[in-house]
Amino acid sequence: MRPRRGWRRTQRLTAVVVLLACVGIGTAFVLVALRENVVFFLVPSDVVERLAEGRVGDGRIRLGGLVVEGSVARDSDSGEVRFVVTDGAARVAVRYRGIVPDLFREGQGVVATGTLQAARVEGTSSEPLPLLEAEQILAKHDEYYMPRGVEKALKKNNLWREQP
Amino acid sequence: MGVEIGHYALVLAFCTSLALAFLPALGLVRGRGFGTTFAPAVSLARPLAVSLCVLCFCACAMLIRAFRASDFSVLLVWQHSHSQKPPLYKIAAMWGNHEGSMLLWVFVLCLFALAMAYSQRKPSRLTLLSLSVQGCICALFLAFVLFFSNPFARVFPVPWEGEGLNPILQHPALAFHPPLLYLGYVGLSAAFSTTVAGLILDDCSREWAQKTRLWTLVAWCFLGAGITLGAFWAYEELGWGGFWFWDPVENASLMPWLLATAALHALRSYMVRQILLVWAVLLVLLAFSASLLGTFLVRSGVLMSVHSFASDPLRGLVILLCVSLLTTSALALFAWRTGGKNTKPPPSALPFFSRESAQLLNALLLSLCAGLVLLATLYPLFFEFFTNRTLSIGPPYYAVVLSPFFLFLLAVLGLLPVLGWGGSSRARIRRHLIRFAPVACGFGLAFFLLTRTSATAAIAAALGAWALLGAVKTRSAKDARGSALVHAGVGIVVIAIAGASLTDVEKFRTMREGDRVTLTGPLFSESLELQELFARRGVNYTERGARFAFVDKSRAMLSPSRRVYPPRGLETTEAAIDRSLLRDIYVTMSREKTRGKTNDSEETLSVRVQGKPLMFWVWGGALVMVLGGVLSLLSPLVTLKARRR
Repeated sequence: MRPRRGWRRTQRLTAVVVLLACVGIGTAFVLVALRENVVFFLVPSDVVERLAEGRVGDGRIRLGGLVVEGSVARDSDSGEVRFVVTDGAARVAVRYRGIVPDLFREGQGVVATGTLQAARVEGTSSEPLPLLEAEQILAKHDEYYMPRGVEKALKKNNLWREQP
Repeated sequence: MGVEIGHYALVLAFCTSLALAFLPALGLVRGRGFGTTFAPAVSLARPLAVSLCVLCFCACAMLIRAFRASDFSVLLVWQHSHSQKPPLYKIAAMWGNHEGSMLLWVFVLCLFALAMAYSQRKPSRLTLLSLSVQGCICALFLAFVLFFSNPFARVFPVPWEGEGLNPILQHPALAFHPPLLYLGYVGLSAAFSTTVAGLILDDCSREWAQKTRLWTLVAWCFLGAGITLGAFWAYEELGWGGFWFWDPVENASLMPWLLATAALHALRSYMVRQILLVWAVLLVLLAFSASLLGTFLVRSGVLMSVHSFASDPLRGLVILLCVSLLTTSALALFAWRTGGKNTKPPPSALPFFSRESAQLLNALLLSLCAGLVLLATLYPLFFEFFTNRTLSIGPPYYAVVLSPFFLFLLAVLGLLPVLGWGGSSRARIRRHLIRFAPVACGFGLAFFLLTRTSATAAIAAALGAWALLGAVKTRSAKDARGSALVHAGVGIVVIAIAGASLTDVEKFRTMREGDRVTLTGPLFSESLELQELFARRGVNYTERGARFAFVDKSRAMLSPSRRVYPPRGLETTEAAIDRSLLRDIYVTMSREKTRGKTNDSEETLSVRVQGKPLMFWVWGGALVMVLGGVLSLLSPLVTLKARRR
């Protein structure tokens, strides 16, 4: 017995609806995953601006800037490293527990991924600074590396110097 | 002198590639009216391919010679080499930079042109036309190398000493990683050329399928080996303890691999059952497009990545133009030709439980995965372009989005021995399930009880075991041995990754001599004692490190260190790794002079000890996969006709 024409049409319609639903759910799923895992790249000025707007716990961020000369301190008991990152206009303190990468040093570019904390900490010049609790510290393979956002900010603040 | 010879060779190579691009194709056109090929133009194809290859080799050799001789009058050598460097790394410095690596890229392109020319006793029309297409690609990229990134540019006045190779690149794995990876990336060009030629001739016959499969498989093996070596290098040298970071450049190598894998499956289905032809054609084209895109992403510096060399906007633009020219013209050809009388396969029914539907699923899901990786790789670019804000996509995205598809594919993979071409009985499938599913579940459960981490890891491990069992069960025709081995490798890698990356055992300490640290994880418990601090001079670096001994003295000492390379004063972390079949112990350290609480200048030794269960098998499984690929390259192919006999 051959299936009736109406039945076949229903079958085809169901297939199309199921397919569309799958594609829709899949797309939504991917978009949500994408949005949840977006990590914005900010320079210290952006962080200060964000804090002024009252947005603190805005998920994870990636902070880029130069490590302030003389700001790196390591607590020998807990193994925590603290340093201050600047883009020339604003400064943010970073706390990290772990081994810093090879190219990490004072006066060089660094990218720290982590979450901004509500608390402020004392910086080198005893002003309270925003604090980033870092999970990961990156410096690039190449020592001429400068995070592009930082380059922009430094140029804006006339602190940019061409690398030799 | 040698540098000039190299430069001339490059210019000649460009002219030769132009000739190769036009002559064989011209011969075919002229010959059409007479039913044969136009002999003089055609007979030139092989000599042209040979001379192209020799000329490119000459250019590469001259550049390597300049590096070996530390000829700092060459800009590139001055920027990337140093007289004190060990000889192997002087040679490797040739491809440790933008210009040199592009030259190597082009050389591999020519190498494949040569291989294509000699893959047959008498070149067929398809081979001749694909040589022409390959010649076009060669000409395009040779022009780029000559006019936009000349590796032979001089510098005046001649400096005394080179600036040195980035020390992080001074590692045996990295010396061989780029050539292997390029053989993979660029090997796909041969499959691409063959497919484009097949589309132009409107003849996607068995010859086309065999050739395309051959080149795709060759490229697949090299690509897999290159990716593995890159991951191995990251594990050994970056000192983070991970081996895959979802870095855009890693993604750029993963996408062609995924697409090539899908293409291989589609090609096989076409050869056995005359199905999935359109998929096969499209996937081959996309695979090479993805590797071109990868070249663009890596070489143009548009992406913020740990791999990208210094960026130059003009170069990026030119590469992008080349890439989009090749990709769009190939895809336009595809759109024009599909559905033509010779490209359209005969319709055939697709039984639900069959090898055919599994192959279709494979092509579908793997290309989907490649698309999802592409989305996340390009998303930050577009986002920045439209909003002027920079962002990146965190690794959890990939885990969340890709794992369902991969796990599903693994589940199907385990069913492979009972999924025959043309359908299989449900009773057979049920028997297979009853026999092997409990074993896989038991393995997953044991894995969970041992590691006590995430359920996802346990599921992945169970499915890995399931795929492995399926691969072991496959005892079919000779031509399936290679693929069974590859599938076994997939199972091993999945189990190992579930062990190594989802189970995180690590301790971070500041230590003094005599201190001990104990690391307990699944299947192991190790105590390490810090015995002494040391400092020594290496070939072109100074090293300060620490020696650790296993307290039970069962294994050799571990000496992680930090090296400083004088030319640029750069520092690298040298991890010390104790490998065994069940776990790796990964130790990194740093000695820094910092301002402590009491003393103004005290030295602290920070130590990070990581336990990586099953890490060995990540490399072991990847090796098995590559070997499987080589095996199926060597074994004779059983196609439909042979099987019917």
